[in-house]
Amino acid sequence: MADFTPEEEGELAGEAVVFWSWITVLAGGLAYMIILPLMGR
Amino acid sequence: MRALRDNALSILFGAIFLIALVGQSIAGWLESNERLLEHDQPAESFGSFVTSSEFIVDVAENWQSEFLQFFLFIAATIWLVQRGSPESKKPGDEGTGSDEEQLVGDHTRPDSPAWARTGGIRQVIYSNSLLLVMGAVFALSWFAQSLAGTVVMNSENAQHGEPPITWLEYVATPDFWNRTLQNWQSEFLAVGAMIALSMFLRQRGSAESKPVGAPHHQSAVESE
Repeated sequence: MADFTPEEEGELAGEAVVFWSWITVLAGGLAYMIILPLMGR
Repeated sequence: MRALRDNALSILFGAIFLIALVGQSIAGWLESNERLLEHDQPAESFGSFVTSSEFIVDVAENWQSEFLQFFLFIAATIWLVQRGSPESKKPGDEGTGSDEEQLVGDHTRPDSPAWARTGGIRQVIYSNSLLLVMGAVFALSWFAQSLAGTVVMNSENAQHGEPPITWLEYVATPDFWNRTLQNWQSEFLAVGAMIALSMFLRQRGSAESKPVGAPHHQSAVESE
């Protein structure tokens, strides 16, 4: 159990990358699923 | 790799989401082409299938129900409890909690998020941000399902020489509600089962379970 970052070290860039990656997937997926049907595809 | 280990849970689910989505698109494309050939119509390309409303309506109907599930779960667990379930606060803890419990306003810590420290509308928004985002994804994916479903139904109507219907007419059809409710029922069943079964069953080491030796009447450990 040695190779991880203790919570005491505070917020890391990796967490922000994970968070914004998921937001991007959700926003991109929703835009794709709304725009294409609106175009009549 | 520290970064991989620190974020392993998100990375696993992101990866299996993409694998399942690609698998769904391939299976759906093959099935769609089988149907086209049965009707003596030419097969369509993979690119054409994944940008079609036929594919999108199937993806969107599952998205909306998953996000509705979490939206309701987050909202209901503010005010309702299940004694003995690790998914629930303990009886008596219902409600949004005091500022002291929630570490907001004058009770913030040096490492608290900035919007927890400020008052007014920003604190209200941040205090409900998880519910707001999950609710928005639910509403938008349900809207996407309704748009794509309208296009699919109108394509089928055209093949049968029937007139097209409007979006408002589509959301009143049995097709829309069948697609919607068949997903909702399974989500509600699974959440209810998780809440009820976790009172008496355990998974050693899982964050979704009480410790193996915790008593059956104990609710979430952190609300003790």
